[in-house]
Amino acid sequence: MKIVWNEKDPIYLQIHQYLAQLILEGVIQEGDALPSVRQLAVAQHVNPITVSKAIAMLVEDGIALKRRGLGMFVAEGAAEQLKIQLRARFLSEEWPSIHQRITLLGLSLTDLLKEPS
Amino acid sequence: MSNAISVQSLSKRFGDHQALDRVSFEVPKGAVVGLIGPNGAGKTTALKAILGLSAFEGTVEVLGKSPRSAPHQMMTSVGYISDVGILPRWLKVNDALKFTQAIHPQFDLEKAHAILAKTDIPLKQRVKALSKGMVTQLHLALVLAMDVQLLILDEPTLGLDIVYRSQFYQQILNEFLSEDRTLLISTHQVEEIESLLTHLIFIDQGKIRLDAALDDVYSRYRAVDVVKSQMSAARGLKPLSEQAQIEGACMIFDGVSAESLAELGTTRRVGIAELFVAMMTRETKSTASI
Amino acid sequence: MNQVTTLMALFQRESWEHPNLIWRLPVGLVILNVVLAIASVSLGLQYFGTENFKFEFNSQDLSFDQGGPGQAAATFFLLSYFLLSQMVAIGYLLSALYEERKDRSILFWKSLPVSDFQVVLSKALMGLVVIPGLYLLAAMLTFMLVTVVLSLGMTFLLPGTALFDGFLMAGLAVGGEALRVFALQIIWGAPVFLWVLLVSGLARGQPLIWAMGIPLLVLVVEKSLLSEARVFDWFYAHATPLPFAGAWNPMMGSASIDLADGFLAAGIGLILFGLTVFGRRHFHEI
Repeated sequence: MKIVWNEKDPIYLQIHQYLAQLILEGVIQEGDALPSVRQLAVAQHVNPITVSKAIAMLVEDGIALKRRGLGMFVAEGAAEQLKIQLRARFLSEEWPSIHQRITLLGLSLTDLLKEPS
Repeated sequence: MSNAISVQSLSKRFGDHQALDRVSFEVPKGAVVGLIGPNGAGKTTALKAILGLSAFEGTVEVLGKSPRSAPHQMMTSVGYISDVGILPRWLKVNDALKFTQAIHPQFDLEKAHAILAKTDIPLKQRVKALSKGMVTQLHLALVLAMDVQLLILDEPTLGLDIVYRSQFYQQILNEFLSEDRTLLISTHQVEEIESLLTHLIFIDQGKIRLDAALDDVYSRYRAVDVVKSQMSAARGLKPLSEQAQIEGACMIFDGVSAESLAELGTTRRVGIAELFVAMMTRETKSTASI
Repeated sequence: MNQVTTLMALFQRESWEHPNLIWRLPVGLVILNVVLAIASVSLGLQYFGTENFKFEFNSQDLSFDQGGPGQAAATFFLLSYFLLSQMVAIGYLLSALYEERKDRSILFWKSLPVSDFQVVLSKALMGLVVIPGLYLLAAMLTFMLVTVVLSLGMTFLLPGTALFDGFLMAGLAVGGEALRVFALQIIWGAPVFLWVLLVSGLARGQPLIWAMGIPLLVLVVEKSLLSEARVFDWFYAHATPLPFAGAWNPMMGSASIDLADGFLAAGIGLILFGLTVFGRRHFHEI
């Protein structure tokens, strides 16, 4: 699936988010191998260095780990870890502007929890 | 050596026209460098000097060697493709492969055949019967099969239609880019290579205007869609450029923090093309006001 | 990858660019002459009738010493092909370093790991040695094949016949001398051939005009400043193929070069060669 790039975030961050999404959704399971740097670079038409940066970020956050001679794998408990990280991020970065919009539009909690038709 | 190319005080004069004026820059190994500038900026002159194809003043080092002495030895590890259709028209595709195999120590004939098999190029055909796009495909196949460490491209996709252009860069991505291979490309069409670049060099009138890693460019320069109400506040922060829009204006800022810009409107990643235009226009304005 | 394989590859590259001059023409001439020989013999047989056409030849009549038909035929082929090869070689050298600059393909050749020295050497050798050599081989082949045709046609027998043996001996003798002329011509013609190659590498346009114009200019300068045009005369003499440069001797037995002159020619050739390499390195842009 080709990433639809937004104009705001750095590319490596968007690749990081893309991979995080795949892990959260279970498309890439814990213990599975991540797609290789080259595969991702070619598929998304970006420099392999940028992809490496995104994966390095995953490693730093403890989401992925490197297995000697085998490549990059999703760490145990990664999905849970990601949820915690993304929750914090959602609450501090994304939520405030959404909250603002909700207030602006005068939507109530009931409106929000209604199933979309 | 950690630099694929090192250029110091490179100068070149044609009559009374200073094509390059003490240009200095470095291309680290593994970098993908975009050399961007208008016509006559000195891009081709700089590339020719680096390749040992023309005389120059200053110091140039390519893969640890000087292009002034034995440039042909350097060519075992350097590939060069230029827009000026430089494959001889009488040469047959098969003969080009045969010749390169005979004189190039690393040439991989099977790799060349594999790459050509994915194109529509008939092996028995002469270059003169090939379309411009096919000639570029052939040249790229040759260069990729030479397994070079450094690839220098001078407007390689000029005049090609979009299918060939996109295939060209896809091929570079598939077969060439890796951490120990370096690419230096000069082009007008910045948008199609922006996602592949790691470094940026702006050149204009023989001088370097910007030389930075792309990540640094993105964190230093920001584009903001400024809302109407914030226009004067935004102008107070001295933007590099201002482009009127339906609602407010788009401004590019140099070195202003993301926080300061947050209230002005929507901040986004600056595009290389718009940054280049902004910087060059500013240069013209400032020189004009002298 | 060594110097020799690179040189061979460069020779092959030349033959791809100029197939007509380098091999199609000599091959065509061989075929043409053999066909003509077959045609004339068949016509002769038809006209005179096979009985009358059969000749008995005395091998002595045809031997080399007597200047007989064998020697005449061999000399004809070897000399005519030789003269042709000299003209072809000059024509080739005139464009050898010019075409690649005109169509900018020199940028491609220079992007490959082949030195200017190797490239210029391949072209110089092509003009001085390979082209004349190929035409020499073609001439000898022509003579041999024509001899076979004539023998078959005129005596109905092959080896052991006087015609065949006589022509063969004549051919070997003339061929031996032709080989000598071929070798000496390399040195004799070096100054002029390498001058043409140099012009091909430096001229901004119309290399033929520069190649002829500058020597003419030298002639004019010499004639007006000095009484004799020694430099021009020397070059002009060396522009003439060796068999004709001295007194024309149909036996070609006396083709030779004065030793001192040979060294001078070789030396000047080397200087011109060096200048050409330097030129391709630094002044290749048109």
